[in-house]
Amino acid sequence: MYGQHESTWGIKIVNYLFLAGMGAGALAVGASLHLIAGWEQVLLPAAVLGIVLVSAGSLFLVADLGRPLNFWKVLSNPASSMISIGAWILTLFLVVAAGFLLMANAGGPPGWIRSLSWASVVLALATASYTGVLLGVVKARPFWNNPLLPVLFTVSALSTGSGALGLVDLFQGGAEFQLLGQAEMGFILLESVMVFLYLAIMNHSTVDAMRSVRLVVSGRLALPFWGGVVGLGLFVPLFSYLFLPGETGVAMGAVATLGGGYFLRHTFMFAGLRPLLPGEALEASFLVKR
Amino acid sequence: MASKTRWGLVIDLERCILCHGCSVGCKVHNVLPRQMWWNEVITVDSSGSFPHAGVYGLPRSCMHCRNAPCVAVCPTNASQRREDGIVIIDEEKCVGCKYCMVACPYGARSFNQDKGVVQKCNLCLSRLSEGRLPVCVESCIGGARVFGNLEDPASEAYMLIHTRHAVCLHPQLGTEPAVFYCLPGIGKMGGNRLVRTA
Repeated sequence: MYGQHESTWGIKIVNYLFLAGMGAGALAVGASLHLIAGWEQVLLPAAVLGIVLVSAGSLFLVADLGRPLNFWKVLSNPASSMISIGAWILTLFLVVAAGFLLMANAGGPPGWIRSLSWASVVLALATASYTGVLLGVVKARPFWNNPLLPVLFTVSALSTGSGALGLVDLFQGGAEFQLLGQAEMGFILLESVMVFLYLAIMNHSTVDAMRSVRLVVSGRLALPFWGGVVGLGLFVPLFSYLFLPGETGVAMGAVATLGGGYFLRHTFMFAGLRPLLPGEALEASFLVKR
Repeated sequence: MASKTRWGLVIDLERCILCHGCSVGCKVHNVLPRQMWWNEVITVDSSGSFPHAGVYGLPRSCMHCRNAPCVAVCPTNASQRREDGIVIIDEEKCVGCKYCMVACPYGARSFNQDKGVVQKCNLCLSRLSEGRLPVCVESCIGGARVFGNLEDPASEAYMLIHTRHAVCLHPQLGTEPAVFYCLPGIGKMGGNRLVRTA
C-alpha cells in the first residue's frame, strides 16, 4: 500500500530524459564540429535530430501530465520551479534549432550560421544538463541530489547524440561516421568512469542513498544496470570499436550506445527513492539496526 | 495575532493504539477514491523479542512544512502555503506534473487519476473555517492527536511539543514540518529508532 507513493514518475519521463538528451547531444556535437573543424555535412542532420528528438521528448513530458491540455501553465513559475525553467529552455532550444535549420538549409551567410551554432551549442548543453538538474535538485531523493548527476546526464547525452549523428551519416553514405564513432567512444569511457564513481560515492553517502545503490547493483534494477548500462552501453560499443572496424562496427556500436543511454536514464529514474520513514519498508530495517 | 498563527498537529505515539480511526475518518470526510489515503498509520515494529517485543503506529499525513519543498517545485503555483501555515493545492491550477510528489520526502501526496491532479491533506480546511477540529483529531479514540497553533505558548500543542520533547520526521532535510510526534517511551518500545542519524 505504501508503494503507491514511491513511483510517481515512470517510463514516460525516462523516455523524455533519453530523447531530449540525445537530441540536444546530437545538435551540440554537430554544431561544435562545425565551429571547431568547419564541418558542413553534419549540420543539417544535427539540426533535424535536435528538433525531432527534443520535440518527441517534450511530447512525453506533456503526456505524463494529469491535465495535458493545460501544459502551457507550467511556464508560469520560472522563479522557483525547475519544471518552469526547463519548459522555457526546451522552448528556446526548439526556436533556435529551427532557426539554425532554416539558415543552414538555405545556405545563409557564414557569420549567421556561426552565431546560430554558438547559440545552439549553449542551448543544447542547457537542455541536456537540465534533464539531470530536474532530478538533481530534489533533496527528498538522496540518490539524485548531487551535482554530478547533471554532468553524467550531459556526457550520456553527448555519447547518444554522437551515436545518433553517426547512424544518420552512415545511412546517408557520409564520410564522417568513423570520427563520430571515435567521439562517441570517448564520451562512453568518460561516462563509465563517472557512473562507477557516482555509485561508489553514493554508497558511502546517507543510508537512503546506499539503499538506492543496492537496488542498482544487486536489487530490482540489477538487470537494466548490468545488462543495459554496462553490457549494452559499455562493452558492446567497446567490442565493436576494437574488433569490428568499418561500417558494421560503427553501426553496431552506435545502436548499442543508444540502448545503454536509455537504460542509464531508466536505472537512475527508478533508483531515486525517498528516505524511509520508520516502519515503511521492512527489508531495509537492517540499515537502522544497531 | 493573525500573522502569529501556524496550525499544526502533535501526535502522541504513546496513546496511538493503531485503530486506523483517523485514516477512515479522513477517507470518509474527504470522500477519497480507492487506494488513496491522505492519512495512514504505518505499523512500526520495535524489532524486540519476547518479553520486550512491541509495536507502535506512525500516522503519516501532510506535514505542512514551513519550508515546503512541494511549494518550491510547483511550476504553476498550485501548491501554496497559506498565512496560517497550511499547505494547500489549488486544483484549478494543478496540471498534474507530479514534481511535488517527487519532492515530498514524506510521501504525503497522491495522484488522482480521474481528476488528473495531485491531492493531499489540507487539515480539513472546510471544517476549520466552521470552527471545528480536523476529522482525524475528532475521530482519534485514544486522544493521541492534538491540533493547535504552534506559535501560541498557551496552546496544548505548543506545551506538548516542549514538555514531551516532540520530534518531527526527517529533520535533516530542513523542511520544518508542523506535525510533531511524542515518542513512545524511549528504550521501552524501540522509540529511539524514530530519531535517525542522518
